[in-house]
Amino acid sequence: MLKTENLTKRFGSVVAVDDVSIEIPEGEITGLIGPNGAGKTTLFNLITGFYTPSNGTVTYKGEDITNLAPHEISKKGVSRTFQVPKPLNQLSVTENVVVGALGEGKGRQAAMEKANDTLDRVNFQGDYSMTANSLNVGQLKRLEIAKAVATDPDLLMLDEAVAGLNPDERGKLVNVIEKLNDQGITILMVEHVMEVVMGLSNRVIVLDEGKVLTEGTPKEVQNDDEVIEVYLGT
Amino acid sequence: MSQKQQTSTDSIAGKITKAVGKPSGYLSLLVFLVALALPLFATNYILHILILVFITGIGAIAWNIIGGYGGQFALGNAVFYGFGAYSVALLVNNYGQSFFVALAVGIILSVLLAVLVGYPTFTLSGHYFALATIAVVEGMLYLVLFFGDFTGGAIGQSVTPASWLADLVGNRVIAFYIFFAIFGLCILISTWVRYSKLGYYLLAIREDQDAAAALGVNTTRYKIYGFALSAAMTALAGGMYAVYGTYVSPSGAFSLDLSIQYALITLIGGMGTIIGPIVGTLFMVPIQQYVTTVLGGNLGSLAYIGYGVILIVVIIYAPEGLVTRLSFVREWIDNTLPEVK
Repeated sequence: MLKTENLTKRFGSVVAVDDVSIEIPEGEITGLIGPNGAGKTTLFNLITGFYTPSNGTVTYKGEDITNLAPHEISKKGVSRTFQVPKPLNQLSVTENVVVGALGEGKGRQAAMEKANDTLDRVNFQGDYSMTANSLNVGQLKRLEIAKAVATDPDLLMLDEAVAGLNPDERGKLVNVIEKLNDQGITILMVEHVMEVVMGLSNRVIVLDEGKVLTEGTPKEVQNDDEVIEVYLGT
Repeated sequence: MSQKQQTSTDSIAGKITKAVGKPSGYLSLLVFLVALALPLFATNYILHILILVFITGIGAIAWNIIGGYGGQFALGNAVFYGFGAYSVALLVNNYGQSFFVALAVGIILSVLLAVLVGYPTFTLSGHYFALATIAVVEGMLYLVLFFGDFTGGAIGQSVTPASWLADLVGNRVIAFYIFFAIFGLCILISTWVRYSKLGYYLLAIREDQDAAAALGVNTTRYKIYGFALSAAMTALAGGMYAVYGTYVSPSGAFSLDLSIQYALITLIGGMGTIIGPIVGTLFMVPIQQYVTTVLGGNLGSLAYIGYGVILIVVIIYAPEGLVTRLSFVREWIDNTLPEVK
């Protein structure tokens, strides 16, 4: 569904993403892991148009989307969340999601209904009329996902969706992600919490120092000597 | 389908009844009715001040669309006021065009200028937009002075509208109603924008541009839309002033002071709220008029000191504007007075 070929991003002399060629199969949950600074978020930014690659291409459903702007990529059906949630602080919870739901030709009333439905879908706990700046971490994480889901993505890219949550909340959010996947949304997730990523993913890609270290099923990756070395050190 | 429509009208009617039934609702209605009846007992001078409130208020409402909703700090909106005022002055006086044609030209030119300034600067991040708008208003002032043969130069240009229009705006009472109606129309536009796609997108851009882009918002395009609408409304204010004041001057029209005043009024009233610029104008314009005309002459520059003091007080005690600060008044009214059903 989504393919990167030789994708590279240099910041001066630093190569943050180095010749990355990966493929995200339709319908699956793909996990993207790697130590801090491995280039996971940079890769997200390259795919979603926030950074222009120094080299390489991004193809989505057979179409080259390498040099498209973020809003154009969003319109194609690739939606993302941010590692540090970006709520629209002065707006209500519903209004936050309305911005994503106001696609082409959609009236305000329809967008409102869709926004509320989407909040139900991600199991948002709390009053939808609260302003976003009064939310707790768990609510912010769900709002971040709801905003992205409201744009009707075929590919949802989650950047550390469960980070900072307690195990109980984490488990509930994992259920939400599974449900979204069951409803037909392909998911690419960056995640540090190993039990979440290993439990959810069909496939796992490991990045280290900007390069793809290995990829495979969760089991294969967990038993890979190189991966163990990168995570545990020598 | 007809049944569905029926329900929606019902609910709108229901909503209106409910809104008016609330104490803050019927009190607002009362204020509106009193405003309508004002010409019956107000002096011509007070009507004049209120007309100035309406004209400045339109500019502030317009500024609020790009500055308040969109968070883009425009500091040159008077250039559009100038375009509106000068289009009316020059086309009506020198080219014998009707007021409406002249006003339309002023509005169209303003929209074009907004696109021209907005397109290159909105794609950049940072403060380029604010700086560019200052440059444009200052640059235009010098152009008007430079092409003095055409524009009337520093002396300015008197405006002689068609006699029917001159009669209308020359009558304070009629002028009051005309300007009140246009002011009301601009409030309606501003309210509509706030709850439209444009409004939501502008608010999203203000809150977090990257988040907005990730949600599919073409940030550059919607900032340009907001700026163009703001420009058009400001040009309307300028054109209205030209026929009411019957005189336009370069320093009055293409004025950095006026540009900043639009921003200040909105800041003091409450940025990004529908009634912020309205409250700000009702508060600031009468004070300004009082200081400059009543204290007058030598004390005129005191207005600036007064502005400074008011601004400092507001920033300290009501950083989010008077509207937010005074929202408890509305709550108190709603909680104390009885509801009408």
